[in-house]
Amino acid sequence: MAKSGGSALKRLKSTLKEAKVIGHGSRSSMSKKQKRKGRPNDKNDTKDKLEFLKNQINPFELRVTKTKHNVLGRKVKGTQGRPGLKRQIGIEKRKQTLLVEMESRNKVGGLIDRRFGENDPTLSLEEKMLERFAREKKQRHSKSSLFNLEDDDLTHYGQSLALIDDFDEPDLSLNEEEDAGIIDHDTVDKGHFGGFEEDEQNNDESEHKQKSKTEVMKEVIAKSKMYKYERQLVKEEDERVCNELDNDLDEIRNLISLPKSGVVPLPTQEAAFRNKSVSNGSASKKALNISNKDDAYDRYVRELALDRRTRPTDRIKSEEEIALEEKEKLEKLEIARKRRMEGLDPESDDDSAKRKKQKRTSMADDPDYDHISEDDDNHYNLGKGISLRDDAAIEQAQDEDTSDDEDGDENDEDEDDDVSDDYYSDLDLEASDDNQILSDDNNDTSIPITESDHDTIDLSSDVLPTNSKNLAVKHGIAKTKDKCELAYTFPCPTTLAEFLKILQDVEDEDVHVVVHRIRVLHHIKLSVENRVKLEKFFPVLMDYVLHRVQENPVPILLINKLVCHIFDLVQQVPESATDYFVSKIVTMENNLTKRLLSSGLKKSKSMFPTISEFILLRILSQVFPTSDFHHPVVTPALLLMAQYLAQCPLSNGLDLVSGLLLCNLMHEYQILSKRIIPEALNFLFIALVYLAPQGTFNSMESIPGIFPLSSKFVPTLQIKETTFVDDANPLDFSQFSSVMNGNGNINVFDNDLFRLSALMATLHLVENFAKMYNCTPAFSELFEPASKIIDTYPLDKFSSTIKIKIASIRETLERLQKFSKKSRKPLELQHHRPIPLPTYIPKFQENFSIDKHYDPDRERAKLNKLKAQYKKERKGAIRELRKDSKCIAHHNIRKGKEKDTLYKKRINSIMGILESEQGEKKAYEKAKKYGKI
Amino acid sequence: MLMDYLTESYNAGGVISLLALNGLFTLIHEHNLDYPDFYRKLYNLFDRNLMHVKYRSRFFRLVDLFLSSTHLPVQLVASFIKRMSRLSLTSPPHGIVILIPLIYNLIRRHPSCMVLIHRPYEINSRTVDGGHVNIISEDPYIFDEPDPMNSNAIASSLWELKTLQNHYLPNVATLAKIFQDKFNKPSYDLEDFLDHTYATLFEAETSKKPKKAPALAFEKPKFVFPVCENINITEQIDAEDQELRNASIMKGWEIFRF
Repeated sequence: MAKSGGSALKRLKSTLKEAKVIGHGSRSSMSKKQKRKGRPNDKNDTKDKLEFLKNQINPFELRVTKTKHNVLGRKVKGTQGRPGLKRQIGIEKRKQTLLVEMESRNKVGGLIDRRFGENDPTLSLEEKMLERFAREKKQRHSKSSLFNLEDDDLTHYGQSLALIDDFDEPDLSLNEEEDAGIIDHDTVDKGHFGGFEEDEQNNDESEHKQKSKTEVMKEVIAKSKMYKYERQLVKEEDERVCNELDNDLDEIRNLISLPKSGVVPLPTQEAAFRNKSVSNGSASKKALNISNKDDAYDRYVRELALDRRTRPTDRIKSEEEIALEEKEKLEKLEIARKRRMEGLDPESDDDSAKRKKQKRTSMADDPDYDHISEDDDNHYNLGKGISLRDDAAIEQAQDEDTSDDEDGDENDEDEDDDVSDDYYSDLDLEASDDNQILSDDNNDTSIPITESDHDTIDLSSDVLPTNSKNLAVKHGIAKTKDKCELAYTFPCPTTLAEFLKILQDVEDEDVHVVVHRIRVLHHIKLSVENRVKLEKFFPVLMDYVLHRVQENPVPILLINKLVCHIFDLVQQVPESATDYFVSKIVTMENNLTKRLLSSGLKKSKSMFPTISEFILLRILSQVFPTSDFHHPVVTPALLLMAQYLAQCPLSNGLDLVSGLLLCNLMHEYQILSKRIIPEALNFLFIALVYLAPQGTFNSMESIPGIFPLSSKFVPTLQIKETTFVDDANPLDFSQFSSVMNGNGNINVFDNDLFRLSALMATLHLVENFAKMYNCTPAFSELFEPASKIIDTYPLDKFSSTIKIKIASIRETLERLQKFSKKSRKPLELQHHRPIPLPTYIPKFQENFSIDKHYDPDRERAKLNKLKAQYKKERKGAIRELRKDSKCIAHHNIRKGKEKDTLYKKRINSIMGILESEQGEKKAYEKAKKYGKI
Repeated sequence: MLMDYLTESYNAGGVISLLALNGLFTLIHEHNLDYPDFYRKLYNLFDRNLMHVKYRSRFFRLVDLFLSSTHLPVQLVASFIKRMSRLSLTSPPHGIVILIPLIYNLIRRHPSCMVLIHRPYEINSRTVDGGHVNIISEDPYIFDEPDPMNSNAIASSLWELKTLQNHYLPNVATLAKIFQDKFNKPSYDLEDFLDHTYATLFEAETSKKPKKAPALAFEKPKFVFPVCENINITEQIDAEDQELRNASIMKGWEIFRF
């Protein structure tokens, strides 16, 4: 291609010349000889050349984007473009699609020309016609024989149907219902479909060639008749055997029923048998007709068929299997318990994973790193605390009484005179202060508390007004009666009174039998209402137990037996039982607060729980798992017991025994989970101080430890004379309970024997607690006071046996302390990955490319990609639509122009005609004017 | 005049000191009163009965204020922390609930006190004689030392808090576990923890609506209180066996005779 300048024409010329289309070497320049001799398709050659030239790039049609820095080996898309060509292509495409569509719009229907070669421009008309004719001919030829029955034979299995005579079919003569499948193989082979050819061949070959068709058929019929006869014989034989069996049925029945003698046969079966036997007997005697007998038999068979079949039950498990199952079940329960002990959900195992996830959310580089989650408005599960409103109420109350107090933070009304100078007496009263707040609350809600010690609701007396003495008398009467037979059915009692009525004539030993029978009669599985009944019965039973323990002496054996039933009942109705226990605990708590409140006025009554409350707490610990991290019943119970221990003043021996009992209970509660109970330890240490022999502690400062201590010692508890008593007994529960129930003399707790026993019990408990807690890191801090107190005891004053005991306990404590100190390591609680500081250094990417997107957030990257795609598509669509409308407009304009020109032409021609006519007319008139006239 | 009165009250110890504290603080704060040994006396107010008296919330509000300064010496702060954790061992749950967030806030404010809860092995191993001693047989902290600067608390560790992670009340145990977590929280608002009593805690426990059925024990109890007659005497067993069985039944209840 010539790159020199010059006009486009010149360039064209030179190009053509170069391509040898014109000028020297071109076809026109050749001689005729050469032409004829050489290239036969020279004409096409020129055409090709021109085509090629046309396709060559015209630099004016090329648009080039200049690259600033050319990089070797890099290909950048879109540096060269041919907008003209592109536009042309687009227009062409539109013409083919859009314009066609536009033309055909508003046009419905139409013909599709499917004639051969109609759309093929390469075929000439003659060729088309010829081909069409040939096709038509061919088609007609192939279709001609479809319905023509005359030319061809119908065949079956390659044999002409005409050869088969339908009416000679051998099967038709036989009875349909009896001979399904009785035609023998030979016949089938020969006579049935497809067999004839062979037959014919056989006939051709064999010597029975002459045997005609009718003969064959006769043979077949004879054979089938013979078979029929044979079958009849067999049937008769069967019937005979059946009859025999019928007659022997009685004997068979005996055979059947003998091994199953233990099993009660189903009623229908039995009835049927009886029926059968009766009819049999009558048949033998009276010779009843057979049809009757058959009827009975049929009925019997039908009944048997309708009877439910016995199914194979589960295999009875062997002893090992049962044991294994039991073991597995227990292990599973134990694992669940342990998980609960750690405060995890017993069911799900992926707790730790969840926790990790939660922890992950509070990393430093997270946006809400410093943000304290606001959702814990429950103040870290601690409850509301004392609200502002309460405070206001207190202040108000204070202002009313002690208006002269300027600070407003001096004192409560109860104790501003004599107590404020005695700091330590606050200790005892602090509890009452706590509850004072509550009572203020109550005052606000206009519930007057006056003489609240009368208001205290006893756990069982609220249910039944009769006092325990009454009942004891009643039972005494019951005992004098003769031992009568127990009834087997009891109604399910809904109130304690009803239950007591039932038990009126029942001895104590039989109460658990009665309860057992009630439970069996109203088992939860037997009926739906039984659940409701048992839910009512459970509180009754509990109330009964709590009621009975107020007797003197406490019927412990009875309760021990009843607790099994209580346990089982709770397993059956856990929700209502929980509600019951919680309500009881709440009642106890209310009683305690009321008693603490009234303690300021009267100090006579003991604040510690009553026997029934002890029993309740004890049963509770056996019914519910006490080792759980959190339990809706056990946790409040523990809190309540701790409150008893911490806030009830320890004033006499009875209180001491109660406290020790509570401590023992708490020890039992925590024996598995080994949780720390500071209150119990404090109580035990205080008891140790109080019980110390006279003269051991002379001043407050000399008492070791940091447990809270009131300055007032309790004189009744101090051990006075130690040498007299040789050995200490276990504390007597019956004595304790009788005193608690108001029948005993409180003075039994006022001698040195008791004090020594209590001391030993306290030390024993301390030892138990020490053994329980020996793994905890602060063990030595926890038990240091105990060993120090024991150290200060004047051991010489005790008798030898007691001295040995005390010494051994002290030794144990010291040993445990030593051990714990030895194994103690400094805390390393913060073994976390250090909290990363937020960094602001930009992140560098190797092989960074501006075209790529480096969004670390996958979701966001995805979204951005989608957005970009959408934008691009939208732009493209808009462009396309614009071009479409442009194309349509072009088309319309062209159409309009065409129409205009057509119109103009027509008008012109009309005008021409009119003008010529006018001219002629004028000429005529002229001529007329001048010539003719 | 007022100053003398308050100082006297403050020196009196006990509850009067607590009450005098507020007035004294006002004087120091607003009237530029120079009061020597203020922190020492405050330290000595943390005695065995503190957690059990009813003024504790009022007192701890002030303590929180006094210790909020970041310019206190580490030894002093450590002494306070250690003393509080020691007291938490004997205090009721509502007392512990005050102490734990307070200690947390102090450690957070004074990161050098972190050694109290986290003393890695390397630091300890460098002892004077070069031996690897990672065991503190005796708590270096001196509880009875009246001067907080000399109590040697910084060498100690807060084992008490580790023990409290196993408190019987789940809320307290959970709260004590915050020392095991990362110190992400800037600080706890002490107001949330101050006003609790047994009654409020109890109410919070009982008013919770259980989400699912309560867990039940699976071991069937044999008795409420062990009684010797409870044992089946029909079978003849020798005395030794009988005693053994008695002991197994009486386990945990040796101190009582039923």
